[in-house]
Amino acid sequence: MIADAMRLTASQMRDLRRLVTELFTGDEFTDVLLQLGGTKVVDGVTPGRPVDVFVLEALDALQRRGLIDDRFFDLLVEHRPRSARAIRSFQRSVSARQEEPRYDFFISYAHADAHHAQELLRYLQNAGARVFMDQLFKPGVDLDLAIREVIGASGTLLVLLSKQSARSSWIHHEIAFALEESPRRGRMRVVPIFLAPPEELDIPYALTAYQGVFPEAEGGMAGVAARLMALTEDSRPARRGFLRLIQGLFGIGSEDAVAEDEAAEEEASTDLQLRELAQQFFTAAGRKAVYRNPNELSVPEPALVAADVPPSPSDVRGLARLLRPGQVGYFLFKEALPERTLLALDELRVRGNAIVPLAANAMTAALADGTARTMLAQLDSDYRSRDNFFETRNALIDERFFFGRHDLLAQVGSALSRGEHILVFGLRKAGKTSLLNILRQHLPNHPFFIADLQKYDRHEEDWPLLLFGQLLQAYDQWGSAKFGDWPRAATPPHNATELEDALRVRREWQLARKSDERLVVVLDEIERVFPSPSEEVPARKFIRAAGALRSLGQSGADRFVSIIAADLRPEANRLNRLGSAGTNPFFNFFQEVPLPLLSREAVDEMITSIGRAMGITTVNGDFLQQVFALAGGHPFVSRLLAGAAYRCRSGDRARLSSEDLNNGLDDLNERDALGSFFRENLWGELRDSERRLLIDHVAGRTPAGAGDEAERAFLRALGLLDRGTIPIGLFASWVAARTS
Amino acid sequence: MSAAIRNPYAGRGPFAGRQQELAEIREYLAQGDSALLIGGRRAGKTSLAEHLGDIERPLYRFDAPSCSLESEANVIRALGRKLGGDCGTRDELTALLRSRAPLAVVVDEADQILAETWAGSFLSYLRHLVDNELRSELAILLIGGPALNRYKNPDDKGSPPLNTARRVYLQPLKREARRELAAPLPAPPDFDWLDLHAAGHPWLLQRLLEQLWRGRSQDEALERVFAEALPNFEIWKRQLGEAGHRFLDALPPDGVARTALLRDPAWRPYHEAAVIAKSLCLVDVDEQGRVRRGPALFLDWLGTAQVADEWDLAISYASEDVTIAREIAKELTGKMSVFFAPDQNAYLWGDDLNRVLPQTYGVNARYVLALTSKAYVKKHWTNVEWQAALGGSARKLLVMELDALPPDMPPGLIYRAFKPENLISLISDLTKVVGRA
Repeated sequence: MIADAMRLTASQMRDLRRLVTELFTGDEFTDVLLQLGGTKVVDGVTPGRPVDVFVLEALDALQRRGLIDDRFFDLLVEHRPRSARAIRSFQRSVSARQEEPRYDFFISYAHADAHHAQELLRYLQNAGARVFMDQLFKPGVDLDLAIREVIGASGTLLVLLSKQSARSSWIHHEIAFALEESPRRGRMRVVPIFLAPPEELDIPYALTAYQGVFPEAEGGMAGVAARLMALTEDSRPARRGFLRLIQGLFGIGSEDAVAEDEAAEEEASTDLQLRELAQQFFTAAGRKAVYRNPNELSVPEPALVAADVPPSPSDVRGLARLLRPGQVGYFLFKEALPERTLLALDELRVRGNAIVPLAANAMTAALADGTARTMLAQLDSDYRSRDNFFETRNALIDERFFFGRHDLLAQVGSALSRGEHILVFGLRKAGKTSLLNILRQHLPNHPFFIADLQKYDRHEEDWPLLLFGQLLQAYDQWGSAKFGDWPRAATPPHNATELEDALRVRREWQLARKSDERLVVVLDEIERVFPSPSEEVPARKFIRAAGALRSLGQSGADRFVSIIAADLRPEANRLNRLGSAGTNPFFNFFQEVPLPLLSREAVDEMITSIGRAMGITTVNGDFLQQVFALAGGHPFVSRLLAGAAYRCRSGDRARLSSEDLNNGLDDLNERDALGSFFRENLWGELRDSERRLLIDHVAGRTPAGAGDEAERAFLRALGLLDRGTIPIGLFASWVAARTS
Repeated sequence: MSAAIRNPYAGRGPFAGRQQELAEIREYLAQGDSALLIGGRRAGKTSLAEHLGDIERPLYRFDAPSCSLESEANVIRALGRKLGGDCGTRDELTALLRSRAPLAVVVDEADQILAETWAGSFLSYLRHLVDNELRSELAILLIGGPALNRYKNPDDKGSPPLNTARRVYLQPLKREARRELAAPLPAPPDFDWLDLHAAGHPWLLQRLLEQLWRGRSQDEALERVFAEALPNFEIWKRQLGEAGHRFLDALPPDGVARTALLRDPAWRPYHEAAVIAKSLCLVDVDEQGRVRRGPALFLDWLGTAQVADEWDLAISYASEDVTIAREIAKELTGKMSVFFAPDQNAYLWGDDLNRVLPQTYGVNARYVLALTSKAYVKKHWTNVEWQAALGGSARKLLVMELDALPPDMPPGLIYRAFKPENLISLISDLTKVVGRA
C-alpha cells in the first residue's frame, strides 16, 4: 500500500480538505478513517474541534502514514457515489503529478553531433537506462508533438553542446519545452554535456544555471554515462554530492543549480526556504510580517507563500480565500509563473483584489542589494494605485511585464558566463535598464552593483572615487547578507589600488567558503561620465575609473568581475583617444549588444497580457496590427498607445478596438505626448548626419550613399531604419511634418 | 461699493475649474510618478498647485527663486530646509528624502533653474532619484512655462533629464468655470462679451470681472485691463513664438474641430504649437470641442503689434563673462541699438527664454556678437542663443573667443581672440561693421 501512496503538496492538501469538508460530516469522515487504517489514524486527532480543523489534522495523519492512495479515494466514492466525479477528478489531478517518467534520459543534440549522441545512447542503454533520442521516431510522425510528448515523459534532458549546437533551433526548442512547458518542468533534470570548452561555446542562457559534464574530464562518453547513471539512483544526498562535485566548473549558477534541484525534489523544503525568504524580505522592507499559518503571512495584509513549484492556480485560490473584497494580497512564489496561474491571478485582480506577485529571485536580489523597501513600494504603487498598467514609466523591476527580451537576456547571460564584458546600446526608453534589472533578478545569488551614472557630475565630482566606494559597499552588502562574518570595509578605498586589494581580500574569502559567484558591475548611462572631445579633466577621471574596472575585469585566471555598460551609443567602446588625457581603457573592451525593437509577436503578447491583467478579454487583431505599424515595436511607444487606447476606450469595456486606438491617439496628440517623446528622446539624440539620412528616407529621396555607412548601420542597429523605411510609423510622420 | 466689502478678486482671486488637471496631477503624485505642469505666465499654475490638497503622501513645496540659484549646493540646502533637515550634498539630500519617503516635492518656477550651468547635472540627479534610488517613493512636480518642455543642456549627456515625467498642460477655462468665477458679481455679467475678450484666460477674466465688480462699464474695464496687461502681452507673444503665430493665423474664424486638428495631416505641423497655445490659454475650446481664437483683448493687440523688434547688435555671452559684455555694451550705447540682457529686463521678463532668445538672436538682431568661453560652450541658454544665431538666415555672426570656441563653429568663420587692451579697436570695428552707413 505504501508503494502506491501519493504525496500531496500543501496546496493539494488544502484542496482535499475543502473537498472532504464539503462532502462529509466529522462523524462520516471518521468512519472512512476507521475503514482505512483503524483507530491508529484517528488517534491523535483531537475530538470536538471544528470539522475543517479535524479534517486537516486527519489528512495530515493519513499523509504521514502513506495512506492517501487509490483505496482512500475508492472509499470516498463508496461513501459519496453522487460526488464520484469530483472525487475522481481530484484524484486524477493528484496522480498525474506522481507519475514516474517513462524515460530516464532524453538526448538533445545537433545533427552534426549525431555520432556523439549515438555513442552516449549506447553506453547508457548498456548500463540499463531507458533513453530516447529523436532518431527513434518512426517516419511520418509530427516531430514537434512527438518530442514534446517524449520530453514530458523523461526524467533528465541531456544537451550535447558544441559549436554546431548553437545553431540548432531544435535544441533551443527542446530546452525551452523542458524548462517551461513540460508537465514535469521543475522536476526534470537538465545536464549540459560539453563537447568543447565552454569559453568557445555560445551556451543557451537557460543552461547557464545548470552544471555540466565534460567528456574529456570523465575519460570519454563511457565515463559520462557512468556519471549520469549515478544520477538515476534516487538518493538525494548522492545527487547533491554530484552537483557539489562538479560545482565550480561555471562561475554562474552553481548555487542555483543545487538549490533548484533540491527544491524540485522536495517541496516542503521549498516552502521553508520561501517562507524564510518572504519574512526576511518584508522585514527588510519595513513591514511587520507574522505567519498565521504555515504558508499564510500577515504583512498585515494577507500574503500567501505558494506551496507548488511552479505555482499553480490552486495556490491562487488559496490566496483568494484569505482576502476580503477589495483587499490587497501578496502572492509569493518560486520559479516563473505558468500561464494558467497568471490567468488565475489576473482574474482575482479583475474581481477587485489588488494582487502583488513577488518572485523568490526578485526578493533574493533585492535583499542582497538592500533595495527591498524601494522594490516593494514600487510594486505596491503599481498594483494598488495604478489602474492602467500600460502606463508604467520607470524601468521594469517586475518580470510580469517584461516581454520579448528573453533571447537577449540569454545572449547577455551567455556572454557573461564566458567571462565577456557587454555594452548594451539602444534607443531611449527601449528597455536597456529594464533588461539589466531583470538580468539581476535572474542572477539573484550574485554580488551585483548597478551604478546609475546619472547621479554623478563628471565636471564637479571626483566620481571615480564615489563609484569605487559604492561598488565596495554593494559587494559588502551582498557578502554580509550571505555570510555572517564577511570582512566588511571600515573605510572606502582612496584609489584604484586600494579598491582592487579590498575586492581581492573579499574574493579570496568568498572562494574559501566555496562560493564563487562573479561580481557583476553595471555602468548604466555611461555617456553621462564619458568625456566630450575637449574635456581634459573629465577625460582623466574616466580613464581612472575605466582603467581600474578594466584591470579587475581582466585580471588573471580568476576573472571575478564582469562589466556591463549601457547607453544610447557604443562610444565608450569605440573611441580610443581621449584628447591629451590619454587613451580609453574601455576601447574595444566590450562585446557590443544592440537592443533591437520588439517583434510583432512580442508586442502582441505584451498588449494582450497586460490588458488581461486589467480585465481586457479581447484585443482586436487590427488594433494589434495598427499599434505595431505606428510604434514599430518600440516598447515605450507601444505601451503609450495601448495605455491611451485603454484610457479612452468606449463601448465594450473588456475590448480594445481600432476606434479606441484612434481616440487614444487624439488624446496623446492633444498632450503632445508623442511629439515630446520623439523630439527629446529620438530626434534630439541624433546627430545631424543621422537626421539627414532619416529626412531623405521620409522624403523618398535617394540618400547620397557614400560615406554614411556608419550612420546607416547605427540607425539600423537601433531599429530606426529597416529596409529603407522608418519602422516607427508615427515617428516617420513626425519627421515628415517637421520637414514639410 | 462699500469699502468694507472684501474684494473677491484681490490677490489670486477665486479658484474655479481645473478639475481635470488637478485630478491628473493628484493621481500621478499619489502613485509616485513625477510630472511637469506647463502653462503660460499668469495662466494659473501656482494657484493650481496650491489647490492640490490631499495626495495621500506628504507634499513639500519649494519655490525655486526663493534661494540663490548660483550653485547647486544652495538649492540642495534650501530643499533640505524645506524637508526639515540640514544637507549640503546630493548624498545627504538623498538620505533626507529617503527618511521622509513616501513624499512629493513640488518645485514652482522650476524653469528658473534651467538657466544655470549646473542645471543639467542636477536634473539628471533628480532623474536618478526617481528612476532608481527612490523610484515611486518620491514624486516630483516641476512647474513652469513651456521652456520646461524643451530643456536640453548641450553638456548634459545621457538621457534627457526629464524624460520620464508626465506632462500636464494647463487648458483654457471651460464655460462652467468662467460662470463660477463671475458668481461674486451682484448681477450676471454679459458672458458673450467676457467670452469674446477674455475667453478661457483666467487672469484676463479675473481682471475684467474685478473691474465689473467695481462697477465700471465694459469699455472702462477693457481700457484698464488692457493697460495692466500690456507687459504680459509682450511675454505671451514671445511664448507663442513663430510657430504659435502661424497657428493662430491658420485658424479659420469659426475655429477647427478638435478631431480635424488632431487627425487631418494638414494640421499635423501645428500639433506642438496648438498644445502650447492652449497651455497659454490664448486659444479657446468651445462646447462643441472646436478650437478657436482666444481672448480678443490680446489677439487684437497682437494683430497690430510690431512683429519684430529690431536691434543692430545682440550680445550673446555667459553670465560668467558679464563684465566684458557690459563693457562692450556700454561703449556701443549711443552708436547703435544694442541688445544686452541686463538692460532688457522688461523685455526678458517672461518665463520662456526658449522662445525669446531664438527670436532675438535669430531674427530680431542684424548682427550677433558671441563672446565664447568655456562657460558659454557649456550652458543651455547660451547654446540656445548660439544655435539661433547660427540658424538666422540673414544675420551676421561675429565671434570673439575669450577662452574657448563652440564645437560646431562653422568652418571658415573668422573670429578674433579677446584681449582687454584691444577693446577700443574692437568697438571701433564693430561700429564700422554694424554702422548703418
